[in-house]
Amino acid sequence: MSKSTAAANGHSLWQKMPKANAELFALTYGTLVTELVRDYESTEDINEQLEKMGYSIGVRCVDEFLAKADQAGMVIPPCRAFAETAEVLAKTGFRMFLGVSAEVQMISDSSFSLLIYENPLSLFVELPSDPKWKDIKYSNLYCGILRGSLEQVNLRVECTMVKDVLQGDDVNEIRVDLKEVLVDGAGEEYDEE
Amino acid sequence: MALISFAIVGKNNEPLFMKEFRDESATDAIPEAELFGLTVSTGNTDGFSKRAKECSLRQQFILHSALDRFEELAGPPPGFGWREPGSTGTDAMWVGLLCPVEEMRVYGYMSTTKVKFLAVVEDLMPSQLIQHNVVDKEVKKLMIMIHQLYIEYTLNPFSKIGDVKISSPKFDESVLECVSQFNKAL
Repeated sequence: MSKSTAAANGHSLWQKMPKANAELFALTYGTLVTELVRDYESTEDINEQLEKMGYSIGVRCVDEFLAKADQAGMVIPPCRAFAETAEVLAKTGFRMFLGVSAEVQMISDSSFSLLIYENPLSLFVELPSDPKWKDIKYSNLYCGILRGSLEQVNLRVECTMVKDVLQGDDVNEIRVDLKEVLVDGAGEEYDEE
Repeated sequence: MALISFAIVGKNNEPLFMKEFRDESATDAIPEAELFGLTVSTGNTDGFSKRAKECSLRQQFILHSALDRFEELAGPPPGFGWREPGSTGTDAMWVGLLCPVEEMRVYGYMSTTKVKFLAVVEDLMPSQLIQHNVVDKEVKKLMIMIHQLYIEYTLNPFSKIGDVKISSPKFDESVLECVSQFNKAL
């Protein structure tokens, strides 16, 4: 799947998706994060909860992605290399659901970074200058979404937010490392004896 | 022709933001601390005296007294007496000149949620060629911009709203930018 077709697919899928008000979306996510802050004490717990929520979203998103692409008549062939997966995620996936494209920076054959310049989740957000906020990964939801969706296509990955605009960096960077390619199995009860 | 100070006051007249933009060393005013018989501090690096310098008492006094004028202009409930009938949006929020004080003029702007924005502007010298209504228009534009910044501040899920002072470096910086733009325009 070439880069330009991924981008073109992403753009046309985005046109077909029902839209939501960006401010409402960002404010809802903001309230979610502030609620988590109230419920949990440590920043690790908050980040973990966000990742878990992202995971459940991701598990559902990938089916919608493949179904909508199919309906639109696009062919998204099975990826032959992890780099292709990265491109599809960044250009088609992110574009379809969020309306923003991400850039891919390959680090090795089994890991890449996604660079997101405009983050629709953090519209209007400014983290307080208290030192306890230094480790909060506000957009950790994305890490969960990537982990969830890739697990459904048999790729076990670990995702972490490396750079965050809210913490002072100039870009949001999510590092994705491939841990294992899972093998489809029917479960232990069906093992042939 | 500069903006001297700016204040944002909530609907119960609680101060949310007060800032003075004039360089104190440029004026011949006696340091306030001396007026009250206290020693003048030289190094203003600790948090408290830095805050205190952000809006001098004199400016706070002027802004406070201008608040009374808001009450007068508001009139009977619902309390938007200064409006022209049929004006909407930011035109309806613009109150205009509240009162002239010594060599300064205080302008007001009140949002529909009764959040008041006050600006103290240096009065025109008789030698300057610009008219008052030009200054008025510029102040109105400034008010609209700062109102917009205030709205963006309240949309931050982490900002405390109510009777808490606005503490956001991004807000402070953007207000400073608006003010320098205003000063350049005149």
